[in-house]
Amino acid sequence: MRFRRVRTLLKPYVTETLYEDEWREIQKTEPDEAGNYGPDLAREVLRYSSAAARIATRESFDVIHAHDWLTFMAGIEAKRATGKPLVVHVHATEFDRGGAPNGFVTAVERAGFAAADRVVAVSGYTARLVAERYGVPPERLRVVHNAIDAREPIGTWKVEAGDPLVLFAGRITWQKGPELFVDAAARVADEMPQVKFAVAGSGDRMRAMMERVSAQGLDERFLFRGFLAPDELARLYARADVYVMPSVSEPFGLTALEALQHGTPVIVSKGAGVSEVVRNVLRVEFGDVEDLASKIMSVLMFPPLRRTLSSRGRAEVRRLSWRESAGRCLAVYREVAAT
Amino acid sequence: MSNPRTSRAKMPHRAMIPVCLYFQVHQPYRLRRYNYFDVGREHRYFDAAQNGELLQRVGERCYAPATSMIQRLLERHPRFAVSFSLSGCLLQQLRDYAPELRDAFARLVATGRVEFLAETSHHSLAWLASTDEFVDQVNLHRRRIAEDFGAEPRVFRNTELIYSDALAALIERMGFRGVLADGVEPLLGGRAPHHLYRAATPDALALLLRDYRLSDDIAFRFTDRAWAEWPLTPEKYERWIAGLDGEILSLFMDLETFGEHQPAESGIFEFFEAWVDRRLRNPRAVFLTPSQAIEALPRREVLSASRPISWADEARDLSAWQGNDLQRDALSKLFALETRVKSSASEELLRDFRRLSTSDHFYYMATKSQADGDVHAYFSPYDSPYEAYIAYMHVVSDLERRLPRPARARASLSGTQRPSPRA
Repeated sequence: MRFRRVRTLLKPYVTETLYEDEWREIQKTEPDEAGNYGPDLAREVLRYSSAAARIATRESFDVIHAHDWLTFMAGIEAKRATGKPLVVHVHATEFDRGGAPNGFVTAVERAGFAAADRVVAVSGYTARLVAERYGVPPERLRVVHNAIDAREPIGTWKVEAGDPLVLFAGRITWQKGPELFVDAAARVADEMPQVKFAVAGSGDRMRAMMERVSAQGLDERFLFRGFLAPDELARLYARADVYVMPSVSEPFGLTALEALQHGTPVIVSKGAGVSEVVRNVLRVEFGDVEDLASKIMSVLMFPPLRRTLSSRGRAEVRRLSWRESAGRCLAVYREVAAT
Repeated sequence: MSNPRTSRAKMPHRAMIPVCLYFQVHQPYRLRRYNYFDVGREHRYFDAAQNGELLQRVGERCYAPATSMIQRLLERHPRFAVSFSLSGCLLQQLRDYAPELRDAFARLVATGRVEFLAETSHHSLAWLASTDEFVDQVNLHRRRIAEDFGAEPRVFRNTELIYSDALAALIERMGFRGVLADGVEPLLGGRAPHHLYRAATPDALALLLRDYRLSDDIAFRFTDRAWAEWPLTPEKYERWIAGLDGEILSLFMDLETFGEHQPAESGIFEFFEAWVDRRLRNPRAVFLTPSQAIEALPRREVLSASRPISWADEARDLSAWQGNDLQRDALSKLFALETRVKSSASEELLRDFRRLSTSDHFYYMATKSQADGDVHAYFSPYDSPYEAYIAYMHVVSDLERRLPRPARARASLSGTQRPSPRA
């Protein structure tokens, strides 16, 4: 495998505002550097895509594979320059991110889908969304579920005794349903005085989430841990009694698999992509705070439930592997390379 | 696939094996969506709307056409006979939602060639948790059958054909003349199910065993296009049966096989009616009810089931209802309340307690995968076994809260009386 690096400020889940903040920051600290990047997100995406086209004409390859809208233009340009087949891979769409869809982003997404020989979605949920919202025909659409590789729990870390712990981990964005988590936590906190809630991650709704926690009088019960290194997060998964992923729209939800891998019972929103690959999780209708709170408490109250979700869930994720997902991607490559 | 039944069928003019038909008729009281916050504020546990709708649907698709078909067959053929076991849960729901269907069953009984079997009133797992409650429920069921149909069951079948030596011994003591079980290998030990056997009880209670292959050919495989014998025709089925040695062929299945598990469009009704017609064209062919079979047939050797068997799942043991921690926990939590429920002398509490003892609730909590899992999911109103367990456990919590506080002496007593599941 060979890598050709393109220096860029693009990173997953970047927004226009975040990009411009970062670019301004660089202008201040490294003015020489700043000129290398586009002054706004759209121009940076275009700059990146022409770099991709240049690289494509110099390299020898069979298939172009681009991930999410940030690199779709790069894929399109590379295809235009070389005529090689294009596979675009959808991890999340603009519609998963909530709020009014950004016209530039959806336009890029549409262009990517139109130019692609195959569109790979991370779940059936996302495949349906792509078909319905963007009109991608089923014959060009494929599902390759995300996966997780077997790994042993980190070190010999022992689960520390203590109060029951309910965990939220991931980007604190509208899509992940942080407000719903806080509302359910409030219901649980009323009933079970010992229970604590941990939040790992950060995002544009972090402040709003913290304010909601305060407004509900839950400051004492919540622990905001911020963005955690993988090892620290692993410890938190293992320590938690239940992991909650109340996403509004969830293309996949890899963190649910990480929690299951640590033997932590998982509650996810119905329809989340991850529940297409695991059965031993609890599901709630999105927005049903009462059912979510009831399920959190059920896991804490009924040890046989916790044990069964833990052991069967762990066994279930052990059967998953990235190798298998990679195999499915290769099959898609063969489809397009053959035509 | 080489089929021994077809190869043997070539032998001409052998005695026709009598057939014993028994149809199970049962619908549980399914729970409503019930969560933690309902505890203490919602004491109606059962989803009346859903249960009523389902009963109507099954009534239209199955009970009405199936009882008419059987009525026609009884009128046409003096040598046709069948038996039913109607659970108390079903009887009560017929009273509440479809009294005309109860009348349809009553008309069948009036022919004198339909036998009703005994079971627990609530199609329950009481046998696994409490002998007292088991006996109470069997007696309650006897009274219901007497009230509704003027019939007195003499032969017993336990919930889902759960059977063991200990069960047979109790059934014998209760005065029954025979008991039904599934003809599984651990019990038969290489013998054929086509004889009347003796149970391992002091008085060698009559033991009638289901031929599960021929029963399931109708009940499970009839619409299975992947089955090598599909489509099953009356001619083919009769050919298999005509080739059998023995004194009795027991075909036991859910009545819901007709029109519900196997849809009417599959031709299941036509198949069955044509098969009975065809069989009875032979003047030596005969159908026997379990009591008639027990009366008429010689009894073979004693068969023993030291461990419980049943007719459910591939394993044909208790694992369909007591195979995981959730199921065992739920059953023991319910029966931990038995003494207090009974001493409360509240009809309502007792009624709810008994409806919660129905086997279906535990069946929904099974975490089996593959073929068994698909069958469990087909019957379950829940998305997952976990949903079933959670709703059930919160209901049991509420039931417990409704119980009168135990007197101090009784409190210590009830602590020692917590029953544990047993065979």
